[in-house]
Amino acid sequence: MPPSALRHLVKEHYDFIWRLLSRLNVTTPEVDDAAQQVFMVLVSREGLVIKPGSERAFLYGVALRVAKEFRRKAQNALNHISPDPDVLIDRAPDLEAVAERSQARRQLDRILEQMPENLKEAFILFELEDMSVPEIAELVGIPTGTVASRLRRARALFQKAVAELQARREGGES
Amino acid sequence: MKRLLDETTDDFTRALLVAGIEQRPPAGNKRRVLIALGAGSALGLFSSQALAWLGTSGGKLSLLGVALGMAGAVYAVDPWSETQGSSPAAPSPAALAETSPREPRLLGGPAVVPEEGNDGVALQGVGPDTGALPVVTTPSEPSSTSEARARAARVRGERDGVVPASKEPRRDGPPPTVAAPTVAAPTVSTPEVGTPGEVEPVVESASLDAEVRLVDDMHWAARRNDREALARFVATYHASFPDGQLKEEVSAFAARLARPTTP
Repeated sequence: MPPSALRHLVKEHYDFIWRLLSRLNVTTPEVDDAAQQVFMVLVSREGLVIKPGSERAFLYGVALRVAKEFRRKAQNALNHISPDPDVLIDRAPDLEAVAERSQARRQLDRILEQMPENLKEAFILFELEDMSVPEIAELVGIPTGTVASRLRRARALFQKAVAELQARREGGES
Repeated sequence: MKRLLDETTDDFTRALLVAGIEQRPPAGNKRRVLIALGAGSALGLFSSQALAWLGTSGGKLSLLGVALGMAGAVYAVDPWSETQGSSPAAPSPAALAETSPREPRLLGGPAVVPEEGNDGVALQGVGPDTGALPVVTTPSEPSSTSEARARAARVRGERDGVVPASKEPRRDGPPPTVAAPTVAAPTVSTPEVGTPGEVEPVVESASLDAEVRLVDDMHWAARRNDREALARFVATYHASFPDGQLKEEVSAFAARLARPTTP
């Protein structure tokens, strides 16, 4: 793959892949390495040709495999930890806002961790990565109806978890 | 289908979703990946054929060169490390106790102890009651000598086939024939012999080789405190190599010969 195309792919899709890996239970210290490994595939495979427009789908597939591999390693090492929101946040000048966002991310991660993998995948891609249902269907390789169904179930789980969380917060405050 | 963020009016749900959407990798990550991938692909490190060049003639030659270089470097750093263990005359514990603690290889034979800050070469007798052979100390080898030695080893290896310097025959066997040292340099170094373009490098390497061997013999004689043999070697060297590359090392031996023997 020519270096210019490689640069373009990294610039376009790195954030997506990095976020995806961090939500696919790859441990925080490993996310950077995992993301780099995803893009290394592009240069290590000779004669690799990605169909124009399907770069994200290709990288997504690679990221799923890499995440699985990293999770297995982490499990073997028995050192799996939840992503550390303090590392995942971007720097903002307002400390209070940063703290609130950090807490919100931690809560979001906890909710996502409780979801089944296939529902979580659909939820992340649609709600957080701004992908359409047909795009997700193509990416994951399942019918659009299945994506919509998973999405509905994922939303229901998410809203239920949010309601429980809010109830706990209100209970704690009162 | 609308997104939950657009549908919901609940602030808490919106906050959670926005926090997820705005999540970004730490600054500088992308640049690091670009640099790593750029450098890696430029060097061909990510290719499955990255090491295939080692199978080519050039690759094999490079490997051979690296191996010879490493062997030469090891030889230059510690040329006498193989001399322990096989000498018939071992020093007594008292003799060993007097030697430097930096030299753990003294257990088998006469000791050659590099001594820092000693300009010359000294023979130190061990106490008369021990009955042990004298402990010989030599100065640290000059770096130019080490380089010459390594170069000679490489040249020798290239000329004779693949013979790493570390595989040289051990020098602690029976004493060499002192009267006939292996010096062929004066006859070989005549530049008129053969085609100049081809013969000169060979002649030069043979000369250096002979020089190194002669100095090796000096070391051998010094280790055994054989002053007579050492004197003969030094004289031979001066006669054969008036402008030799190992002059400094030989002059150290000459200085040692000039000193009176320690009782």
